[in-house]
Amino acid sequence: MKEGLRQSMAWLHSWAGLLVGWVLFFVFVTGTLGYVNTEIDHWMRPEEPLLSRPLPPQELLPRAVDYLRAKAPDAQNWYITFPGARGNRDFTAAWRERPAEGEEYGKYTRDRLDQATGRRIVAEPRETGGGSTLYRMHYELHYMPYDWGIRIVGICAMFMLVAIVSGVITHKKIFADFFTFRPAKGQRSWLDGHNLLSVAGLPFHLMITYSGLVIFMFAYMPVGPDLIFGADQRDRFFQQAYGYEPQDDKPPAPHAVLAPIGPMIAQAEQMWGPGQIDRVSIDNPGRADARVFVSRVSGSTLTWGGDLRFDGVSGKFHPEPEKPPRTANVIGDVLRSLHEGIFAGPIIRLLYLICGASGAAMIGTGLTLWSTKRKVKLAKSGKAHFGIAVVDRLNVGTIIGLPIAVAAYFWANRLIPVGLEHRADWEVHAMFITWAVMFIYPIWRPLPRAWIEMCWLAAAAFALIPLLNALTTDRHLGVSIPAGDWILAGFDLSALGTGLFFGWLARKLARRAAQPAPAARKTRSPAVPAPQVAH
Amino acid sequence: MTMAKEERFGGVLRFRPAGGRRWLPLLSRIVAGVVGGYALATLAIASLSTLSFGNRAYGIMGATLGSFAIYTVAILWVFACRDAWRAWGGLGAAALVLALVWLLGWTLGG
Repeated sequence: MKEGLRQSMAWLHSWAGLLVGWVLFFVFVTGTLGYVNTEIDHWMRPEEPLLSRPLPPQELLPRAVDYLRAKAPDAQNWYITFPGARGNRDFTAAWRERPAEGEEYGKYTRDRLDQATGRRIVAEPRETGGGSTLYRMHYELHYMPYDWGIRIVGICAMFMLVAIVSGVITHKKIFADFFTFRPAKGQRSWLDGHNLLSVAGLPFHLMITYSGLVIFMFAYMPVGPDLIFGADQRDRFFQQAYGYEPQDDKPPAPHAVLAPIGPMIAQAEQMWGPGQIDRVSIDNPGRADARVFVSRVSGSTLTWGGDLRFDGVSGKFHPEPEKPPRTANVIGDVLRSLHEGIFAGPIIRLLYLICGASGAAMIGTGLTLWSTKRKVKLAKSGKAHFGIAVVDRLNVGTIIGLPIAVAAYFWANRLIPVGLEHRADWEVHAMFITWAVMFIYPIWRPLPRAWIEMCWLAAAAFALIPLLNALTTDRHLGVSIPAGDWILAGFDLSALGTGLFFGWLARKLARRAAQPAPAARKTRSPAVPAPQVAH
Repeated sequence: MTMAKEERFGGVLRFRPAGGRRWLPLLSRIVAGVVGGYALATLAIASLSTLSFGNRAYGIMGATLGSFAIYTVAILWVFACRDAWRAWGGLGAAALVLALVWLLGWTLGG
């Protein structure tokens, strides 16, 4: 019976993994890139100034307040962001006007300001999807409505969860497998590699899959709120669950002078230490009910940074009323922030990248293992199998083809003319057209050749990115390294490193294909060559 | 025992269109896992959320958080069972228990 359980779990593991493996690979690759979305944004907007040491908030604050006073003296909200924190490279002033009659929200405007003068920066960088578009693809896909995208990804994540747990049950020797790696042994090496990647990353894979489901849990499992509050009463549900106060439309309070914000920032800096202030938001500036929120950069706590609240007229510290902590809400928040890694500094962020990449590699090795195993079985009967040929083509088209498509996205950013209309859309089109070609290409090639050739293409596509960057912009390594802009330089160097990895993989696969086949592989070879299988 | 295994997984691993109705138990299992499991998770949210007396919204939050684990266990159960009938039977038994909890929670003040 025990053997029976492991066998049935192995069956479930391989089919659950196969059916959605290609979508999951896409989700893991784009999601992993999402951990460096703002870094990619920076590279994809080469018109932006190089990173430099930002001025302190105390110096910038009066410039923003003056700007907002001139532009929107009676706005509903003012928002000031200070440069410095990750992804927050701009000094900006934004405001929301009071809603017009019959509207829910007022108009929102956001201007980037020059740090030295406090004047608006007019020049706009090129239109690009940036890293944020890649990041969004990992949960909403592309070329389809948002509601479809998140549900398809949700179904795939559920398959992933089943595949993970059934995979764990399959491997009763899970810890022994962790220390077992037999390289250069064909299928056995793939299996060992798959086990190693899966077991080492298991906590991450479980966490990322479950928390991904939790982020959209009320889209996937709408029964709770719908049952109690009705499908159109989501707001009321969240108010009760999180203890929000309902927002009523109050008429504006009488005019009052806004208290100076400098001392509030000073107080926050005293509490948090320097370099911790991310932004200041002011509700109802210039009114008697004005409130000032000073927000901390994320990365200091496991969840969001936290706010300090001040009275906007008296200037006094005005702490939020304490809410009883609720375990389920806290668990939900922690899972969400673990998924997004919002607390991650550079080292943890690098760990996230490694874990995410190992997740993609786990899915990739799992997919190839599926067909390798079946080919061994089929070789005995000497039959070719159309389904396996299709899986093989989809595998190489996804595992190597998708990285090439991502490289094409970056190439498109540099090569599409800056003035082109819908430029950001065309960057994405370039990515998916390339990917489509990468699915078509292996149909015409013998499978091992397709792997090797596409690996070389991926190697070139990534390794040449620093050169492409040097030829098309003045933001190349010769500029970014001396200027100390390690975000920009880091992108070029990572692209080069990725190129080298694919070159290594190509050489490895080429060497294996050229080797006199060991006995085990010889028996397999009749099923492997593509032309017989494909037609 | 070994014979039974062969049959079970032989039928499952290779789809044989001409092999009679061997795909029927598999189809039954897939429906039990995907649809039955989802229904069970949904029922679990409805019933377990009544156990958080006082604040129903908060109970829903907790039950929905856990529902994906329940769904996963249901799917694993369905595919681990010796036959499709047992799979459905187990889901039915779990549903019955959850329905009783719901009734209990509802009458006690949920």
